[in-house]
Amino acid sequence: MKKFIIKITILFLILSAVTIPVNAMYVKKLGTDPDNTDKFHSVPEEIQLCNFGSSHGLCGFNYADSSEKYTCFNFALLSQYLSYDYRIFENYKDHIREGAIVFIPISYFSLLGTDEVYVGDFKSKNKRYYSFLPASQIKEYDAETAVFTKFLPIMAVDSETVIKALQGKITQDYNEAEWKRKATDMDVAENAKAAYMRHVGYQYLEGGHLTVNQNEITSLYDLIDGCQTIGAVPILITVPYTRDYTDEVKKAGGFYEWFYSFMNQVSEDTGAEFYDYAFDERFADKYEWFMNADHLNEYGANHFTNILMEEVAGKYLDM
Amino acid sequence: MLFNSLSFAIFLPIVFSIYWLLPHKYRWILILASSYYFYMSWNAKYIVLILFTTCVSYGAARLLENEKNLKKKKMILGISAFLCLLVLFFFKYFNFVSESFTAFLEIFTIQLNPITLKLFLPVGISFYTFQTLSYVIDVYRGKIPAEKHFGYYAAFVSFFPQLVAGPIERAADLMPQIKEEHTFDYDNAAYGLKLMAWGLFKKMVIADTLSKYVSAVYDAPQKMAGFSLILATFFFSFQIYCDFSGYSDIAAGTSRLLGIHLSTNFKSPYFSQSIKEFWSRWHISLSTWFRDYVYIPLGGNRTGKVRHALNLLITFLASGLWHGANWTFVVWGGIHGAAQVVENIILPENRMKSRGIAAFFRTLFVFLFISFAWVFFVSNSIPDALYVIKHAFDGISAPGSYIYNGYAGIGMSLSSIIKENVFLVLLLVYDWMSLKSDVIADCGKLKTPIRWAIYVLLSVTILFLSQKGAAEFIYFQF
Repeated sequence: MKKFIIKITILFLILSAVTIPVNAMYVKKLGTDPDNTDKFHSVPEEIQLCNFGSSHGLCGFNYADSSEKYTCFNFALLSQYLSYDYRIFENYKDHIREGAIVFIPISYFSLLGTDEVYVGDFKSKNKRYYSFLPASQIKEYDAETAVFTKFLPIMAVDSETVIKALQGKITQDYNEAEWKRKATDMDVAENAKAAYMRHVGYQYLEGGHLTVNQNEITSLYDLIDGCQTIGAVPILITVPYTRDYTDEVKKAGGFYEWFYSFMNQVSEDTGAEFYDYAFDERFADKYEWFMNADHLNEYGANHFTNILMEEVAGKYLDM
Repeated sequence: MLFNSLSFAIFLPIVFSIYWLLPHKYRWILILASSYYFYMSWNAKYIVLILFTTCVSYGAARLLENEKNLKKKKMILGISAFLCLLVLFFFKYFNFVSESFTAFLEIFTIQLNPITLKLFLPVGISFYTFQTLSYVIDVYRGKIPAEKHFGYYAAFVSFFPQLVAGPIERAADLMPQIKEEHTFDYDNAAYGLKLMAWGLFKKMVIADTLSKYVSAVYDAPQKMAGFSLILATFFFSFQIYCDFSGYSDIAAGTSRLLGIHLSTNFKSPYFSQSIKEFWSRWHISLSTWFRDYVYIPLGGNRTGKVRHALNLLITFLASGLWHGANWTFVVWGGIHGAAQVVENIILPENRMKSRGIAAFFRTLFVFLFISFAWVFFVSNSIPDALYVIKHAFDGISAPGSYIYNGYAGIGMSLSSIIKENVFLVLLLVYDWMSLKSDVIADCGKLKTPIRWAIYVLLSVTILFLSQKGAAEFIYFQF
């Protein structure tokens, strides 16, 4: 038994001696804020203007001009579902001032498909929430991921991420340089096709039909109700897309009919106003305001946020 | 609690230490308590089902031993089997039967809403139900005596290393080991650890990584076409093998740490030259279970050719259904059963094995056939499986882009292609060597620096090149 324990201890020490420096190297190579969650550690108090949402919300809002006058914050993250919008809201609602405007962008994909936890990349995506949400707000929480994410991040990521990071090939999920990119440099039509297939089109393949994600719809109602309870004004919106993208989505027979009927129903049920910018002619063909078929770039987001300030927020905020 | 989780990495050393510190007469209590804790860490309520099955089978065996009247013995056996299978049916098959029945009625334009239950499938229910069934049948047949000590019996049913995904142990093999006194044996424990490491490598490095690519296709196959479908199918062949045999290795290794030997569940199955041989190498504890308790009682091969074929088909259809309450599993079982019927017709017993290049091509053919059958196993529905088969060769007229798009479609980069191939080659080399010798034992005979280099390299690979987040083992759902 003594021999066995000694050998196990030696192996443990060797592995620790390898793991600790490799982990330090990994953290160094990873750079700062790889999953765009650092912002949640400095959420301002008394927020007057904010938004939730997925990448459409993350890229679609640029508060550069508004932040001089108002306290603003962008709570969106890439591929974020409404259920996490609501969890983040619950965690930070004390930071939102009474009378604040809360924009809730609705991405088409976030209302469709199976529950997020069954989507392929859920586990790797879900890790980002461990750094700023309490355990009770994290889906499928497990202590192991929490421990490793905090103390030995290399042990919480997949082999591909380790290899990429050690090769220095890892980049932020989303970064400033990408946001400045203009869609004029890309094949927008092809990009729109791929985005449509990812978001909506896959549902209609091979005789498929629209599967609505009931959990996400419940979260949307909860989020609106939560905003109203703290005295904030929830505004439902769709952000501008290129014509290429909306034309693709039109191919999904009956999707838009369902979508607008649904949004109007939510608006009617909750009293939250719905503003639809998806087909806005001011944006639809302006590739220089987009980074790809369905995401505004920094300049487009600035224009769009200013438009929102004039056309929507102005009704509620002292301009 | 999963073998590939941090909680198990804490749990096992604690159990191991207490086990060897305790006097022998108390060890069964530790095994029982730790096994119940192990199971309850997944779902505390469902321990009631294990307790129920344990009590029913224990009581039935005791009654059977004291009963001389054959009719009454049959009745006791029947009631015990009915009660144990009723639990299994209720949790696993009720919704399937209800939905299939209403679908059947629709053929006659009778519209009914199926009555369905919203219940979690208890982990490992098929494994411990079959283990207890075989125990009661063996007592009925007079092969083994009924266990009088309820504690030992409960520890046998719930023994944590094999509780949730087997091997399905026979009482004659496992019960005496739980009862007998063990002394710590260094070689045995060291072998157990090495086996666990190899199992973790198969599960966390190979199976979990491949699962990403398999899910990319089989979660919604209609999104894909062409070579991606073929790649995902081959990857599933290795994923399920590494996942399940990895579990069996970890289970056997864990048991060895406690001085208990579990039966071998896999013997390099992808090196089989016939479907019959495959089933003597794949999930051996289940195939021997079906052989002893279904196939042979049906008459086995000691009947006419037609009846023999029917026996094979029934056995494999039942085996398919054991795996899951879905027609996809039934079809999968049916394919294997039918293949064995055909094999029996075209291949006489003395031509089941070849040598040289013929052996290579036969092995390859069997692997391709088994992979084809996995399409039904992994698909969510029969239409999904048919879609995969129908569209697997879309775009093959341009072979270059067919292959390139196949890899790109499931999100594989060049580095991941190289990495997965290196690991798969390593797996096949290990399995090939295992055909002739015990690779782990051989490894122990290497010079110390080489041996330790292998241990460290394997451990570092598991630590850094595995998929993280303690993914469940596929066979837990069965």
